[in-house]
Amino acid sequence: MVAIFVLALFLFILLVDLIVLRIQGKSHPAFEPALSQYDYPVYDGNVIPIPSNLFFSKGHTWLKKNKDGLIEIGIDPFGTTALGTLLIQKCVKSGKELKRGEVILEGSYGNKTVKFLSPINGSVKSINADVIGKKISNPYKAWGVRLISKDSLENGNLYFGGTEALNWMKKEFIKLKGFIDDHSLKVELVGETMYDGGLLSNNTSVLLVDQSVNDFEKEFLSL
Amino acid sequence: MKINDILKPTFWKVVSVIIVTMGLFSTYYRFSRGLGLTTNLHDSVPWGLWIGFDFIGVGLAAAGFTIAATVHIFHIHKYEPLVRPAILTAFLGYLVVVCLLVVDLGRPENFWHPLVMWNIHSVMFEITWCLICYTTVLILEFAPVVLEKFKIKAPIKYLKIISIPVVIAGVIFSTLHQSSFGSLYLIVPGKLHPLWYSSLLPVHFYISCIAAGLSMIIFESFLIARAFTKEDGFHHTELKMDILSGASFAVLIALIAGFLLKIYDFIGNGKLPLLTVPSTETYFFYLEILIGTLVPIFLLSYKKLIEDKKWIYLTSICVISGLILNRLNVSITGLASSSGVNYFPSFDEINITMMLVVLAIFAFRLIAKNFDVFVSNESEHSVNENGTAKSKQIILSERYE
Amino acid sequence: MLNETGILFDITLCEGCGACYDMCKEVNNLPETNDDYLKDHLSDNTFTVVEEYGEIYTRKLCMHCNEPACVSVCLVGAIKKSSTGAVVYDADKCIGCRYCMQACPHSIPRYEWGLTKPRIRKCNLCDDRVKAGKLPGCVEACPTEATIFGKMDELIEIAKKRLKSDPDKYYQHIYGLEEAGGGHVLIISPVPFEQLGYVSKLTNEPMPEFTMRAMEKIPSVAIGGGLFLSAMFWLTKRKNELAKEKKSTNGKESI
Repeated sequence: MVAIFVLALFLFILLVDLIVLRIQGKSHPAFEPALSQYDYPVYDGNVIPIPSNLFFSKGHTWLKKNKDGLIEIGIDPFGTTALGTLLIQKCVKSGKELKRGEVILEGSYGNKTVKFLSPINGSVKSINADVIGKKISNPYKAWGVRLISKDSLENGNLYFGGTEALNWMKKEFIKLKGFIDDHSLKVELVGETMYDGGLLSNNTSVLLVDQSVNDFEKEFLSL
Repeated sequence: MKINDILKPTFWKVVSVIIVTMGLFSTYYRFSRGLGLTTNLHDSVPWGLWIGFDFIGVGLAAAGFTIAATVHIFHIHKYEPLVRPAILTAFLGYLVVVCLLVVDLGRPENFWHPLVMWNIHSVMFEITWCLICYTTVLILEFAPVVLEKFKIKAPIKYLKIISIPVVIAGVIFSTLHQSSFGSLYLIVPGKLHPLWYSSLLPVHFYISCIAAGLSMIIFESFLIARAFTKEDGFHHTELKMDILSGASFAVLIALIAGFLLKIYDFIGNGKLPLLTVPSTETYFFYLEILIGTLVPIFLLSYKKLIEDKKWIYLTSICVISGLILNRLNVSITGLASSSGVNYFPSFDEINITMMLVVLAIFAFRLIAKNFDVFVSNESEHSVNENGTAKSKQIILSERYE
Repeated sequence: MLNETGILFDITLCEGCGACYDMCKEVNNLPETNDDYLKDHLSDNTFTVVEEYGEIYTRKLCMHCNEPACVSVCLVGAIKKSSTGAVVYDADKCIGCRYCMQACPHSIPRYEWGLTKPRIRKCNLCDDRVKAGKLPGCVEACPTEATIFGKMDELIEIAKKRLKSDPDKYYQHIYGLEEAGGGHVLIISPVPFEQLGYVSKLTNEPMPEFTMRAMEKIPSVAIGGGLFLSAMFWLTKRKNELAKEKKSTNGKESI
């Protein structure tokens, strides 16, 4: 009897745990959708590569340290396509002393503006006027801001690269799918978006309402 | 970590606080009133839930030596990320076991007696010494993590020099005491039900602890992947499927070995007829074999399932359940008919056990948050040799540039 | 063995008067536990009981094995064999693990569950009295000489003689002579012992033997395991090094 009791208690706690997670709207790692399905086709290397010399921040900006010590910052592939095609509208001014967490770039999906935050402290040396207002075909070439910074990119708590970045990116797409479902956003056939379980579908876009933009910034663009 | 974050009530925090509070009261009663009033133990059932739970705790902590041996002795560096969590699990597991033993001792104030009063013929004596030695080994194995944190570099050098003998000693101490928990029952051939009694009991215990220890680490990986999120500043806590599949395969082998040994034992000792006797023991035995051995072997022998994290998780739960059933069957179910009493643990016994488990989980979190349990600095090898996981991404970037 | 003493209990002579029960309580300063001694059972305050099986009365007490399971399992050596052959207990050493209770093939040791500093309690064959030249309490009290005290070889002789001289009266077995390796309490009975609540399926092998068979493998496991692991450490390391060398030379060639 004791054996059954202990076993039942063990299984009961696991069950309660699952139920609690359900209520909180989270998923257990064992039962969340397998990441492998996101390996394909988004990550077959042609669609969204994760270059090993880049660092990624949680605010969906990428950072690259050039040989001259300047750090280039751009929007990562998630940011450029999450809710449709992103057009960069504004950059910070050259010469500004930028603090981590301040707005570095502003862009728009359709008529809704989103703010990207600076992942790093530093003083802005130059900005890339070419990217403003244009459709970005290659996110890693389209750098927005060049700045000089004393911060180290090796800080693993703030920036990640390699496999880690890859896994994080996959999870972000899973999260995005949930986000779109939760906000019951409609998908329209304009532009390009990551909707559809990570499939790049052309000519679709998400119809955004104001509240969902705020939530989007909170969920995906905060550092 | 802000105070507000710590105080923010979550479901499990509330439950934990309730369990620990109740446990503390029970502990107080246990020590102030004695065993008789607070437990359901009595002359016919001298060992109850606490001892049974000790067997479970030690069995589930077995990954500490298997993983250490795999990585440091057999040089399979793929499993390096599991070493520190496994050692920490083993250490905390043993701490729970030792605390439960002290609670269970009738005269806890004499707990140090085995150090000076020896009876080398006692299995219990051997277990006590192996526990002491192995806990020391675990401390030595985990010490670099603590020293790294406080940037005390000098002793690490010496620890590195003795690390291999320490790991080998750890494996031997573990082998001895894991099997000796089975040997404890060799002296009760007339009392323990023949379904479980066997002269091979130590070997059964040893093999089953290997399977269950690894399953525990797999199970824990899922807990870790969930509890330690990136938002808390954790890295290297994602599920690493190739590692989990590999460990599951080892579980499969250990389970098959254990099952074959059981078959050999039953045929060799003519115990097969016992399987057809309808009795509580028989049903419990079937349940144990079914959940703990047959179902996991069946699941893990499918290549598709062994690579699917959902099934790996469910199998690990099965194997852990099997160990729980087995250890409690040996220590309680199998002795029930000879004692003639139906024992069920008292409220206080359950409380104290649950409290210690909760405290161990809490300690695990605390240590994992403050020390580099999931970052392996010794992973020079793994970077060099285990290129498979990362090569994919490197190819990507090369192609891109 | 020659000087070791014990008791022989002849069930056919026992009238169930309970004198041994009372005397045991008196000698050991034990409180009263039951109004009717025939309904009492072994406990922390009762070291021997008289049991009633129809017309037959029998006693239960510690069998004082020659190679006691309780002595072999006690990790601090709190239970020991006395020079008289009695199995005695030293509460000051005891840590209270209760392995002795679990291990005893006769399920004799009892525990002071109600106390915060509990002791193991059981018959000690009045070791102190015997050493002082007196008889054990129960023997002294027995009015019918059902329980007699003496040297072990003499007691065995007496028991064998009684079984032989009156084969109809006795069931032909001396309980306690060989059970679990034999002990210092011998019992002869008119009926088979399992009818009187004695544990009857005991092997004749001393219980510690079962453990020793596993324990004696420990040194070889430790040494063999150590050698095996060291060898594996060296072999796998070497293998990895070779593989690495091979890799690096291959790499050079391709460049």
